[in-house]
Amino acid sequence: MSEQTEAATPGESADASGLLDRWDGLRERESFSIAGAIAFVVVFPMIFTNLPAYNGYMSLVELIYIWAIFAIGFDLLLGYTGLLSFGHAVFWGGSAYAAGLFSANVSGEPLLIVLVAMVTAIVLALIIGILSLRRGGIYFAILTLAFGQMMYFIALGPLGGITGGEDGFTGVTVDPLLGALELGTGFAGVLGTLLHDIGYVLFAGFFVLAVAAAVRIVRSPYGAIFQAIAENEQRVRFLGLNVWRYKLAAFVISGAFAGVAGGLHTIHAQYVAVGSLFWITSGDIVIITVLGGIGSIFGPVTGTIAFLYVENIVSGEIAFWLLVLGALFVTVVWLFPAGIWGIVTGIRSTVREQLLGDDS
Amino acid sequence: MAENDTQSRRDVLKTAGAAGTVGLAGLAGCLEGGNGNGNGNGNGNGGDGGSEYPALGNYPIEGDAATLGFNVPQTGPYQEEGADELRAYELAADHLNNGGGWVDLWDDLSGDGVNGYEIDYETGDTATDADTARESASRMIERDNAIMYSGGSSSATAIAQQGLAQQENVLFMCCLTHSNDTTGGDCVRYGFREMFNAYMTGQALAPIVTEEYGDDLEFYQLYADYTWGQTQQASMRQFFEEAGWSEVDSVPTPLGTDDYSTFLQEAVDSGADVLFLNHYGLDGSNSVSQAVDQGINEDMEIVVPLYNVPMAAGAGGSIEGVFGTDGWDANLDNEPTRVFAEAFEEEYGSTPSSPARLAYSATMQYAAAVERAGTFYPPEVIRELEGYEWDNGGIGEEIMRECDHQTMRDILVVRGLSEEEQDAESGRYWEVVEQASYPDAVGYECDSGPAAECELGEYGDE
Repeated sequence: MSEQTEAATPGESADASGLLDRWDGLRERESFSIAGAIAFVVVFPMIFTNLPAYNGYMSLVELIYIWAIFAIGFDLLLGYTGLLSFGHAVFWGGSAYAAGLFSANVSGEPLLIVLVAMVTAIVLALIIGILSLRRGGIYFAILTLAFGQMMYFIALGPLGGITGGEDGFTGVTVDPLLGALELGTGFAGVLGTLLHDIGYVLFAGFFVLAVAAAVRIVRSPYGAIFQAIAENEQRVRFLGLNVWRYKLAAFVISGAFAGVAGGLHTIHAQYVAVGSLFWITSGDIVIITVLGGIGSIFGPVTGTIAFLYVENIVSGEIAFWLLVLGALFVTVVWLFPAGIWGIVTGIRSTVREQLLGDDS
Repeated sequence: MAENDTQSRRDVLKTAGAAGTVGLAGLAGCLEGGNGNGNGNGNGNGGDGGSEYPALGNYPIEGDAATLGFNVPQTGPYQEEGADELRAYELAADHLNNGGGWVDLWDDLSGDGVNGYEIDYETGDTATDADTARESASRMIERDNAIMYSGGSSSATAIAQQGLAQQENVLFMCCLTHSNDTTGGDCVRYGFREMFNAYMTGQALAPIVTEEYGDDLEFYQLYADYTWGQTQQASMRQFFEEAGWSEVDSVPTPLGTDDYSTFLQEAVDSGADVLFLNHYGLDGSNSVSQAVDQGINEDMEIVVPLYNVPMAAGAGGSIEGVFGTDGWDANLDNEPTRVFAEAFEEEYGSTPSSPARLAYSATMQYAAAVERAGTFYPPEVIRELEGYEWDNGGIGEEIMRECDHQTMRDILVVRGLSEEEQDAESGRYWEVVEQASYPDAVGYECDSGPAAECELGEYGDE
């Protein structure tokens, strides 16, 4: 495409291609993605909660951010490093329980809760990663699934006294943020329209942070090695790099994202369900990520919106919402292997070719 | 390019700085009081008499229709029960608006809406999953402004939903939930339950079963390995050992087991006289059918502590002679039962199950409490429900206890009929051996049993 722009004749078309060049330069910056995420958290709820029919609501918006953090982290593993984990519920649910227990017994400060959740997930990811990453491909997926189910049954049975078993953990107590800002406190005026309340700032803030962290990782040399491993593991090994260590790092980073999300979910729901450790949760996150489009930051976000929209809004109107979800998934995977976000990027490059084509 | 770069970075910094200042100013000066969760702030404009009480939860109601949320499992293992519940909820909403059913029977209800408001409803799918149930309920509360929601089928979903009810100050009427914890350790001020619990099942069964089979027997238990199964088997052990029987062993089986043959064989080999199958739903019909196929009923007596009609229908003739409990039966001989069963049959062409009656009753109880309170203001409605006694629910005298929001009520002890005697058309799968009555046979004090662990929390207007 760059050849095309160079070959463009001077004059108006040069202006156009110049603009496109600058646009590309802008887009490639990390700050662009972050600014995009910030713009998104301001605009998205306005549209989402005001749809003429089948509209959303604020706590679903917050839930979308929480799951999106989980999905972005999962995509770092699946999309960028090429490892399919089928046991990510361990990090989501395990950290959610840790957050719940911490809030009930130690402190209800939201930031501390998230920190504890993240640390728990990192520790779990280290242990399970070291054990599972001895094998690749389908074996890795099955091992992670097995560890996930093991955690589920431990939480359900032997640890039932602590976790509340099937009934879930109900003792969550969340204190005001930094000791003073009650999560339900709303903003007034313009700020109220843009940022709603303290709770929204907390969830949206973590979402933007997650996008920023993911972009940083993906753009770093370290992240480049992740992508190289996905493309050709053997070559990376020939370069003298310890592939296993990088894979473990990707697994742990991905677990840390899930941990943050799990902790935030405990704050959001003030309840931890044992289903959060069940294999279906691990399946959901795979579906969300693939539906949105793997190997991009905003793909998983798009997948999260679509999935949670069907699960929570469409389900209220159509009894066969699982069928709707299935049909959507099959259609997207079949027709657009790059996911919903792939459709967006596809349209973008078509438009762009059209623009350039007209000019020259 | 480099120049542009610095330029725009400076610009970005400038804008960032400006935004930061605005943000700080906003934080300093623009924080509202209020507990606003997006709706219900600003009181006074909510229909007649709305300004009597301050805004709380989804009170006051905007417009002239009050929205109820019916949150039942429409997918997953309990979808049969859920479908029957939903039919009953919709019937209840229809009766509240247009008369019919219990509305004609109860003095508190008019058949012309509730407290001057038309009744509107939203439905949701819990998928028998606690998180999904909670999210679905929060949609009803936040988006649809539900003033009350109801549902259940599985204690985990009920407990998750009533926790949300307490947070959001919106009432939750439990439907099918049998765990002790719902009105025990996990009870809340904003949740009410008419269904009995595992503890009361044990109380109801022990005297009748021990009288039937004799004293000093040995029993063997299998139970579904999760909270409900655990509390259920613990209650059975407690009440049957108090009655003089002794336990040989109690063995957990994984939830959703297909093949019980090895567990059942071990039970036979133990030499015990009676086998308790603490399983529910599909697990229950599977384990009892397999026990009979293995011929265990020739060596041992079988008891299935908690029954319902779909389960009995699934097990068919296997339940012949098997004891169990249920909350209500469409063939009971009293007026409220007849009225409800007839209205249900007329509308849907099938006999209502006991979960359907719970759903219908929960809606009616709430509506009647609103009428008595003269307002939808949640704390007042709660106070009306607390300590309320009624005898027009089709199962004798009932009382909604103030201390733990558990209804003290009669329980049916039933015994399965043989295949020939069963009549699917009219929902007859068992005979009612006895209506174990409160307080003679079942019930417990506020400081004992599950109630001892209950702390209800705040009304929201303190």
